Amino acid sequence: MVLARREVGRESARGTAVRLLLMAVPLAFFGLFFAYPVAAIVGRGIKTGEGWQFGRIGEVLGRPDIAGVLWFTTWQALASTALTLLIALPGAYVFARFEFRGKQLLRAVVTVPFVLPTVVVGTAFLALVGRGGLLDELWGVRLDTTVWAILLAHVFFNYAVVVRTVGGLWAQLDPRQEEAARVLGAGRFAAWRRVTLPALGPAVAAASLMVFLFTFTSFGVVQILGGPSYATLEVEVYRQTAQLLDLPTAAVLTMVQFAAVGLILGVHAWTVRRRETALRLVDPARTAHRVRGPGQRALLGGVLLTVALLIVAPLAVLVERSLDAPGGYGFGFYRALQDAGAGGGTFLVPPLEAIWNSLQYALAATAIALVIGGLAAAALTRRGGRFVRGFDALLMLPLGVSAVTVGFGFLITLDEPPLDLRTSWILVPLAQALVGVPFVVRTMLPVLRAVDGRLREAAAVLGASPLRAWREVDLPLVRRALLIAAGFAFAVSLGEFGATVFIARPDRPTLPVAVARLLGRAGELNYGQAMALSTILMLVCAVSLLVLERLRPDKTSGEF
Amino acid sequence: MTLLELAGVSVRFGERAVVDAVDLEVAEQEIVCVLGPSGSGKSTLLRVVAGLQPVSAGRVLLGGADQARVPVHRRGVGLMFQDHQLFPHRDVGGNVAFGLRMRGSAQGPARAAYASRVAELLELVGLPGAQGRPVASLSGGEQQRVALARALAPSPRLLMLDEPLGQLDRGLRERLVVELRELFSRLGTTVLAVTHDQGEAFALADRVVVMREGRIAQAGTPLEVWQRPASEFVARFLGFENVIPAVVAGGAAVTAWGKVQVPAGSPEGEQSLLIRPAGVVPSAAGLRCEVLSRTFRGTHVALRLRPEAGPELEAECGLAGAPGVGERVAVAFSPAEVVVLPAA
Repeated sequence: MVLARREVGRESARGTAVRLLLMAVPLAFFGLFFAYPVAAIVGRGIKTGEGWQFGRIGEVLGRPDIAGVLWFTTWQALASTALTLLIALPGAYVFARFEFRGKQLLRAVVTVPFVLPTVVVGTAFLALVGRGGLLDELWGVRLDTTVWAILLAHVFFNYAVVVRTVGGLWAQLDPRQEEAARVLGAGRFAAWRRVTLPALGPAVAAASLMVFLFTFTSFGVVQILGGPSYATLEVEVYRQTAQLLDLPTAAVLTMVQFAAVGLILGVHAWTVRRRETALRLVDPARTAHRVRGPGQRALLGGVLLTVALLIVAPLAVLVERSLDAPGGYGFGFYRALQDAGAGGGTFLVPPLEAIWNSLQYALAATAIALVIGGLAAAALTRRGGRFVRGFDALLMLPLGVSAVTVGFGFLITLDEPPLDLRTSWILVPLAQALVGVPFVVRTMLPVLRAVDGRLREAAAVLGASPLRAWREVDLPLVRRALLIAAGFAFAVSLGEFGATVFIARPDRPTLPVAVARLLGRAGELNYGQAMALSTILMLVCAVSLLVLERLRPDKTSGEF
Repeated sequence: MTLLELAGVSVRFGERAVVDAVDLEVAEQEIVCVLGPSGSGKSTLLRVVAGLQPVSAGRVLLGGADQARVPVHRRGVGLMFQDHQLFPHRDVGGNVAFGLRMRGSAQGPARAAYASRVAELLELVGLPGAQGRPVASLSGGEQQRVALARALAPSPRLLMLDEPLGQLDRGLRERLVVELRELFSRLGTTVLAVTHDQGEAFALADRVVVMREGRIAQAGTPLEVWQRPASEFVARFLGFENVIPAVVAGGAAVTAWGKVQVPAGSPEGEQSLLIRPAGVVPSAAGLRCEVLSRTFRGTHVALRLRPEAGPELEAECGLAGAPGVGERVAVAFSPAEVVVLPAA
């Protein structure tokens, strides 16, 4: 009978057809708004009047400075990922299993860094560990010349990825599984390692993959904290494009990054091989408990301290700077934001309008990402052949491709009929959704796959059509994951910078674009306004995330 | 009137036939129990009828209509899963009402009707007032009752049970079997159940179907199957161990245990012989044996004997005067408890 169950998953021809239909929309979306623009800009770089210049690839890669960039990009990404896991996994546990006051607020707080524009993150860390920063003032410690500043900023940035992705699943794992192992003679750690860790495996792998991709393609953080000595591929692409105007080199580097990311995703798909087994998911409210005993209190204390030092401190410095107006602490910088002329002609509209622009764009982008990502996740739920696995990885590619390239690609491709979107507002949400979709898929997929297929069968026997069964069984079980996914999509859309900066219209800047514009100009007022606007962005994020946490429906207590 | 008909149904996974050319009919209001060891394909059979498992060959007819193109949710059958598969995100009431909601609209008067139907069913399965309880708070037996109520709620024309009482303790199981049988005959439910427990099957079913490696080994009333197992496999599966090769001629069989009288009209030639334990009786002039073990079974004592010749024997005797371990006894075989099995 064991055999029977395993074989039941085999696809009927109809199932395959439905799945292809579900995938058609995401495929079209990625083809049109990702593959096409990126291909166009890369083509422009290595194709001249005399045809394709493939020789340039070898030329560029042979340069020792480029080899150095490649090496640094790789090892700092590995180190950042390891460090993030090390620091954030205890956090994921605490958020999943402990009940304490202010948990929801704290969960929103740790997510804030993730949505801050990278430029702001870099600046905040500079203010903390750089020259004249907080640590310098207190103990004379400066980290901005070392790689540690970059690594810590990456942890700051990605802490929420691990806490949310891993913690979300962890909260729903049945603790009795671990208890069973304990009774069978496993020690506390052995039980965790042999029972919980394998169950968390897919989520940990997904989180690691995301962190690695983010740090591998890190731009703003390295740009600011790396100084002249450290540069990632993405920074180099930007330098070659915007500063040296060397489009061919930029194109080669874009392709190298693309290939590297493709390779990473391929290796990932090959090693992980869809290990999600049907886990017994339970209501997270039932797995969380109050902190008991000195060990748990120490763990909670440690996590709170980490969050305070690593996440709250840089944010606090940011807020402090925004209030540190010339005439003493006050809201001077904030008041200046209401006036378009205050920045010396930086803006056509008062910078405050950027808030509404950002919210509208981010909402639209979230809707797009949920539809596209939801369809893709639904299609990928059932394990399938190699083709499906490839599609799975394909969805992650936008995270690995230089946002600068994507934004620039939009400009040169989507500007003629039938796709003349240059003046349409939808262009910005489309670009932002591109980075939101992978989050939606990655968050939804492990939970969707963990839903026991026989629950669907039970629903079908009771008269539910496949669609209805999905709505009645899958959806309620993954509602939480869906909300988390929406939160992520909204957050990354709010913070998206690299592509938006190319395509946002001058009279409709988003918050990060406005911040960057202010940072790019000299003067204390501009700097202060940038800090003030960053603070506002941070608050907008925190408030939206808090609303999302509240939106979580109560325990389902029957439908009637 | 036939409600369910399986005609030449086969399910193959690769080379292996899990269900192999099975023909089966279930009449309306009949309770049929498929009995077999694990891996005999009995659960797959239920999945086939429910439409969860496509067939490799053969036809499934419900009420005379071919179900090949009817999807699971339109077949109008009920299936109680072995491990219940209650919906963890709904409470007891939500689980029981699920099938009602799928079949009707969820508005106004219908909702009230659902509520009263749910209450009625919970009453029926002995869990009155449990509507609001979370599923995770239920014990195994309670989950089983809720699963049954959920399957019964939409009044399926055919109710299928996969190891319905599998996870319950013995006392509860024996009581529930009686309750279930009474409930089904009162409701007039047509039932197709699978189990590996012969006691359960015999107590529950009007008709028993024994399966072996995807094929039907025997079908008949519990009494028929018990009295006249159709093969050595069935006999052994029913728990009989006194099976021995024999040459039958002229009303007697020659076996390793000696000459055994067989019932009149038994087939002749090389056969297998089954002697039920109750048919092994003390007789001064009989086969001499040593008592190997003695197991108290409540109403009788089961003995394991090692005869002078031939394989070990199982015997039953009354509580009084049962020989002790190591004692020597002599036994004979009473023809009424001897069955000639068709050669395997």
